[in-house]
Amino acid sequence: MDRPGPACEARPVSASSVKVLAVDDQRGFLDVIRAVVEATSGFRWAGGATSGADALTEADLNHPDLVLIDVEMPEMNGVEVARRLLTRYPGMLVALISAHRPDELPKAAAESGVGAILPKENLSPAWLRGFWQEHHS
Amino acid sequence: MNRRALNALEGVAGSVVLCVIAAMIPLRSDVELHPAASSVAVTVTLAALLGVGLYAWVRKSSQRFGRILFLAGLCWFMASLSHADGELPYSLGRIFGWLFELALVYALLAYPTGRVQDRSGRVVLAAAVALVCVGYLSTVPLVDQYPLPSPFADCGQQCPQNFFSLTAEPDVIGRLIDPLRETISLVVYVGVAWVLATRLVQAGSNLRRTEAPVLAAAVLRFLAAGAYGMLREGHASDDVATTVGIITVLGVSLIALAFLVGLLQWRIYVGGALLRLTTGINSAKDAIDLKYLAADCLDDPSVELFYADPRGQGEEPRWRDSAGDRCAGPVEKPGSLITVKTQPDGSRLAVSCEDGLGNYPRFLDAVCSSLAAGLERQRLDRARIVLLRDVAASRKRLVSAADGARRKLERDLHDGAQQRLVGLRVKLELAREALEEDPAPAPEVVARFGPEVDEIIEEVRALAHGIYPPLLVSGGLVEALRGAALRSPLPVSVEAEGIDRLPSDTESAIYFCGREALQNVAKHAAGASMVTIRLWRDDGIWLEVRDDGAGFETGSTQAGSGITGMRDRLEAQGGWLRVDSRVGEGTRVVGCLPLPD
Repeated sequence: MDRPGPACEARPVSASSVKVLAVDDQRGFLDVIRAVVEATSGFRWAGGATSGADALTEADLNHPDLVLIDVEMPEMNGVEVARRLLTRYPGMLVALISAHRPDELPKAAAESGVGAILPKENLSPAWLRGFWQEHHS
Repeated sequence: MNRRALNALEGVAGSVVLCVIAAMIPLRSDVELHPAASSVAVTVTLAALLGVGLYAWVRKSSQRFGRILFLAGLCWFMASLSHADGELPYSLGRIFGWLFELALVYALLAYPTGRVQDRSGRVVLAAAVALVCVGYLSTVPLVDQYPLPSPFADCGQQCPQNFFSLTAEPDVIGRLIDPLRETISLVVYVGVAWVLATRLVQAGSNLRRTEAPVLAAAVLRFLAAGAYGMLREGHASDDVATTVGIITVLGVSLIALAFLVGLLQWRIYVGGALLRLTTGINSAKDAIDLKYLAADCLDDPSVELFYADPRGQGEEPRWRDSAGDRCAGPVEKPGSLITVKTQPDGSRLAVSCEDGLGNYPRFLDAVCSSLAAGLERQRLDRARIVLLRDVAASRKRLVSAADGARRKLERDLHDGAQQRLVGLRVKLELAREALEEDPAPAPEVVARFGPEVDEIIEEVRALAHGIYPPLLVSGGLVEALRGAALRSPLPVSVEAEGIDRLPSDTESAIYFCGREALQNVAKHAAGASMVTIRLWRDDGIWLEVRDDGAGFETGSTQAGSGITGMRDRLEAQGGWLRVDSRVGEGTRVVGCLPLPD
């Protein structure tokens, strides 16, 4: 994947950093998520997947602490991916991200057990920190 | 008052005058034995003949017959002169008595059309003419006295002499001519009765109601006339002969009344038949229903229908029977009559029915016209159902295509411009946070966003162009197609003759068809090296997109959604589309839209 520009340079990574896995069928936005993660201190990029199947494989390999999943994906949508991850890893923190507003998403998204449903444009280092702290304070 | 009514009134007035005169003749005669009875009998018979003759004359369907009957009435009037006491009027009356018998035979054989249509009738009429001319008229100069007694004279032994006698009466008249002509007269009467009986037997029940009364009255009268002749030969008493003579005279009134009854029966029947026909036609579902309806209305179970759809000029009609099966067409059979109706669009209907109905051509024409209209209505109903079904299917496809386009647009926006804008927003937030810590690189950071925004603008522009190209609005159909041609991967030439700005619906339909055709060439026309787009006006706007690719067999290839969509677009505005292609000869898509008024 393309590395982000100088204004989005990655922060130094520590072993106790929160590992973030991103799942989105749009490779361009995976780059954007990676730039946000690497610009957030205390978080590190654990990998990206462009499909639900790849996401489950990556989760088994890398054991991420936090997973950001796009809702609208072909074949297996984000809600189904989240459900399977939470079934397999009940302690994992999962957030659904979408280009649509939360009230435009199906009811299953709100009932999926994820920690948050976030409009994509609101993704930022401040939000990541707040989300993690809210669920691990 | 119209001309026809005026003529009828004149006829009635004239008839009344004649009746008055005829009534007076016996009353003023010095030789009449029973003047009152003769006056009544003559006048009643004259009134019946002239009255029924006038009635038939004013009806178009029996006009010719009416004239014949009226003429017979005039002959009867002249025959009434035989009740006069002068030699000249008496002689004229006796001569016209024979002519009246001839006129009566003619009227009976020509009923109801006024024409003797069967061969046997013409033979009997010829025999009657020969009998009167040779057997009676030719003897006028040779006799002193006309045959007595006579139903036309009631003067007993006081009858005047023959005014036209030129020589003494030869013996042969009495010995040979008289009995011979009496016998031939009987034969003629039997011949007339036989012809009428044959017609009655061959007629359907609808026609029997008009023929039966006439036959009955004619037979009665002929029996009376025959009996009178035999009584005269047998020199029966005056009273008996007079009585039979009066019956013979009144028998003529009976025949006239029988004509009237027959004509009225026919009118009643025709009214009922046409009413049943016109009310039954709307509920007839197919040609078989029409056939049974016609058979019921014409009282003729032998009715058969044949129809042929319109074909090109000079082409033979392709006939079908009422069951819809192909057949050779209507075939004349003995006793049947074929009537063919040709509609303005070239379709034909043939009705086969009993030939007796040929005597009533106007009725037959009305029946055939109604049946043809019924058949036409059925054809239009079927076409309407097919058209409505096609329109509903086309409408459904258009709505589905519009929904599909909207879904594609949402997808394109979501996956393209929206994602990029969302990404841009996140990057701006990242840049803001970074610049808060270190503002120095702000110019480079901001500059880096410029190209990304340009790409997003270009993406949105292309999307908008795909929805509705701005050039179609600002420049029109020709410029928009030239723009689409420039974006095609193949060389495309656009030729447009006399095409200015058109209504937006027309321009958009032709444009999107042309663009779809171009896209089809790029996707499917293997080996194509160039494409030609032509636009021209010719009682509508024409579009042709032709390529030199591999072509395909149109008969074995089903139209794809693209071609179906193009066809729906044009047909929604009253146009059409056709695809011509042959393997190895390229493909030609041609469509036309009518220009709005």
